[in-house]
Amino acid sequence: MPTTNGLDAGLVPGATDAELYDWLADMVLIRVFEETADGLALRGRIPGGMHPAIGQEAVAVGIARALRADDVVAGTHRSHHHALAKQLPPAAVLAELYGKATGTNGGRGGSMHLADFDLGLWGTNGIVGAGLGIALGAALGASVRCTDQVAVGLFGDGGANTGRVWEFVNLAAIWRLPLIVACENNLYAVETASKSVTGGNSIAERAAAFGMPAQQVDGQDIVEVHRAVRAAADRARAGDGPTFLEFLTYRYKGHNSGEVIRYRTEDEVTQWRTSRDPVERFSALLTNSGVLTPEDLTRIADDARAVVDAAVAFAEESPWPDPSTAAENVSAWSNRDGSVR
Amino acid sequence: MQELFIPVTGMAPDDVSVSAWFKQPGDAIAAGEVVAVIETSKAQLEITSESAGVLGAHLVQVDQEVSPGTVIARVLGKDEADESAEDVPSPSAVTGPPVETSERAQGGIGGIPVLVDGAVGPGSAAGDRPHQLSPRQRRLAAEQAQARAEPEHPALDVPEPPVGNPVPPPPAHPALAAAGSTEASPSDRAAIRHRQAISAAVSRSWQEIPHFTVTRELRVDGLVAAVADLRSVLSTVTLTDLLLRAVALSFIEREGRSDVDLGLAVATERGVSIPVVRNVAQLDLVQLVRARRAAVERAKDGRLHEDDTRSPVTTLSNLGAVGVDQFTGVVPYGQTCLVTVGRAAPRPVVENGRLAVATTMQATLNLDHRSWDGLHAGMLLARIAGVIARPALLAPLGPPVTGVTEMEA
Repeated sequence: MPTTNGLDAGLVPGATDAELYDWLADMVLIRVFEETADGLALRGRIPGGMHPAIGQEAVAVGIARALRADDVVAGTHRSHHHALAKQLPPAAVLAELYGKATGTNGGRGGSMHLADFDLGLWGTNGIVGAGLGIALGAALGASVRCTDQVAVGLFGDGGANTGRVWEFVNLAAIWRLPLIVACENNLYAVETASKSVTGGNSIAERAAAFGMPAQQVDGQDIVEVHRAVRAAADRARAGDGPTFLEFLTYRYKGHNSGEVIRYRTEDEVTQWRTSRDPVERFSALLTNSGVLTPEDLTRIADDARAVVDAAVAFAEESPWPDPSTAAENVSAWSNRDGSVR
Repeated sequence: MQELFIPVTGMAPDDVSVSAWFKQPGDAIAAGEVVAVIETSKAQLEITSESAGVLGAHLVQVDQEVSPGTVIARVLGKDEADESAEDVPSPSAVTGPPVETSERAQGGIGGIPVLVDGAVGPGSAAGDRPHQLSPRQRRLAAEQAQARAEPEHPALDVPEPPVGNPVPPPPAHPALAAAGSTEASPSDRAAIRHRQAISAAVSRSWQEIPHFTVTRELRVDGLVAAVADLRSVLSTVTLTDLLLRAVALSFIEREGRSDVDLGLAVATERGVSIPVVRNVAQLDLVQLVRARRAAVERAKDGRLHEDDTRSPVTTLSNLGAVGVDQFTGVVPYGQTCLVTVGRAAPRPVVENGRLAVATTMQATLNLDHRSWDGLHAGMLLARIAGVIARPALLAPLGPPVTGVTEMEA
């Protein structure tokens, strides 16, 4: 089926070639950003470290690209890919990781607390399963205000074993909220193989018991991710309530940068990297179907490298927050000058 | 130029020290070669060089505590001058917070594209990482991960030890009593660290390994006579040398290979240490004595050699020199058994129905029941007894002995 148009080829319904180029560019940007940031974390440049999302790019970009710009995403402790997919500027994200004043949150949040409400990222956070609750609130707001926005709440396979996640799922089901419940199952809850602590056949199967559509999705295939999220978003906007999606994905790095890994084999990592890499799969799909040329791929990689290099320079050169502002944003009552009413 | 640095491996501040330099300033380094071994609170890690070159100055000395992120040396390319010596950090400078001490990470930004892999152990293709677990720990990690991957054998699942140092070292030990003192000298600190390492290792072994022991009295008349005879040729040979060889030969069939490495428990001022003697069964007597003496010296000096990071098939511990008749021990973590022997002494034996006097030795196998059953242990002891009864097998001065596997158990 020789064609230069992915739309005609039925590659991804509803997406133009230019959009597919952008999807891949976003994934490559995340890959380069995370690998670079991971290296910087090893060197001690990122206070408190970080949780690299390398390997999970297709989930984030597939979700973000299936949503409208004003839809809401709430992330997890491992969320740089969500933030970049939601179009937060890489330089501001890296500056936030550094704790610099120019960061997305003025350097106050760091790696685990990225947010930009204008871009629809309603925060990432380190409380396991809590992002779903924030997304639930966003969905409730959209429902009450009749804005036809959709919210996506992310959590991991570890979060799927917390009680709050299922309380949120239940509320979303009974209130028929425009919520997409999105589990990134990367097989490991920190150092614990999740299958060793997770009862039942699958996480998605649990959700089905709450009376909402629930399915497992190949999280290493951006086309599948996009298709599933677009369908769920359409349902939500039509007033048909929440959908549960369990994305089967994998993180190539440890739980945190530099983690000494003792809980999985090198073979397993190699197998995921070589047979299911989301960036390589999508690159191959786009080049084989004639949407992209090898030159396009080179340009995408070069552009990502340039953006990330500029982000590093920006983060390195940005100033630290002014110490006199340390008490700001601590509570609703604190003054600009740091004194407390 | 490539900077070698102490990687940040955790989310919290950590005390890290260099435990050994494998390369000296001026040494040629191949890409992927191990340059140093560092000790973090959780693991011993090898620091490897990604690129080839010549090693610059050691910016950090053995046992010096530094913060993660600190540059410990530079690998210089062709025609690059070694400017490292000028910025040897003072001890106070390197114990500050990592953000303050690490230099701007130029090497990891523009220079090396998408290369640094934070995953230690399992990760991307080999050579992409600036650091990795030592070989022994890699093997352990692989075994543990494998055990987890088999839910049908939950009994084999080794639980992850708690993060950090799970077992506070016994405060009664004199080396540790000094730990609270701010006056501790570098050698005191080394002794404290060594004691803490022993404490953590034996506690972990004792918690995780289901120990049992099997003992047999060995007739060693021939062995003792052989040592005396051999001393007329090689004055430095000891009973331990021949015991090492006997144990190594006895493991050949079980291991299915003849390149058997053995650990040797050595008492040092800082506490017991287990250097590794490589390839014991294939060494001739002169080589074996030399290797054993080198291992003992390493242990006593507190130096670490690449060999000592290997995982030996077993370890020999001999307390005969201090008059012990028989004892048991804790299986070293990462091994499945430990051979403990007491002194060779004249003892009553029954021979042809009559009481007689013979030189004997009590040999004990201390075993991990997950890997060994009593029958296997008994058979291995029988094999050791059989080898020891043939001193000719124990003192080769030339090509290695073959045909050992045909010997009856």
